[in-house]
Amino acid sequence: MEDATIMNRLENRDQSGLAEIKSKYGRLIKSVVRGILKSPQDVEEVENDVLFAVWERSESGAPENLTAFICKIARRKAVDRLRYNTAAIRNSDLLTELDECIPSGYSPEDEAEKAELSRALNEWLKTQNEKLQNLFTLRYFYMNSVKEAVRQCKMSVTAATTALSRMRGSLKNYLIERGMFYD
Amino acid sequence: MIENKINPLLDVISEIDDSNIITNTKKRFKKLPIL
Repeated sequence: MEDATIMNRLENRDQSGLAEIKSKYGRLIKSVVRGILKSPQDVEEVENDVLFAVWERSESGAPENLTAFICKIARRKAVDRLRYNTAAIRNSDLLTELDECIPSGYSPEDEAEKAELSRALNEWLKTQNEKLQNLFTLRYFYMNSVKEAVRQCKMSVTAATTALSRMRGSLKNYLIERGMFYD
Repeated sequence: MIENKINPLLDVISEIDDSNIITNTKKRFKKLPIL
């Protein structure tokens, strides 16, 4: 079924639209969530959270791109669960890496500051070539391990680790130059 | 609280442009096993 038809059903509060989402995008949702959470029970529950969130949010209109919309919700819900499962944070390496870009003590004061940070991140990402953009997205959006990410990027682990380290340094400098925070 | 320890980028990266997500989604779909 076409995305437009699915969204039309959801906007009209027709629950069959949700069943279509599950049938068409269920595997994708699970794939995104499984990259962040390991427990099959968590994956199952978060998939349901994602479907519920899609249902709630679709009331206010169709997103520009349904696939990206669903992936973003899936990631957000998985990160929420990860935060909830404090003892089960398996991506501590990843968090340490992110700390190299922005100090962990830094916290955006409000939504406007958060939006500014998000804009800056996207601007910076556009300065990287396509391969590096993919690598960054796999590692920090999908939260794949470096080993998992290199399989899709066709790079060696060493090359990817070096590239990621350079990108973190580059992002940090980019944010400092724009006054997002001071080193 | 763990929330204070988690880097703000963890959330902000949720907002990366759709184009980046879609590029990777295509590859991701290809690799998924057929159920």
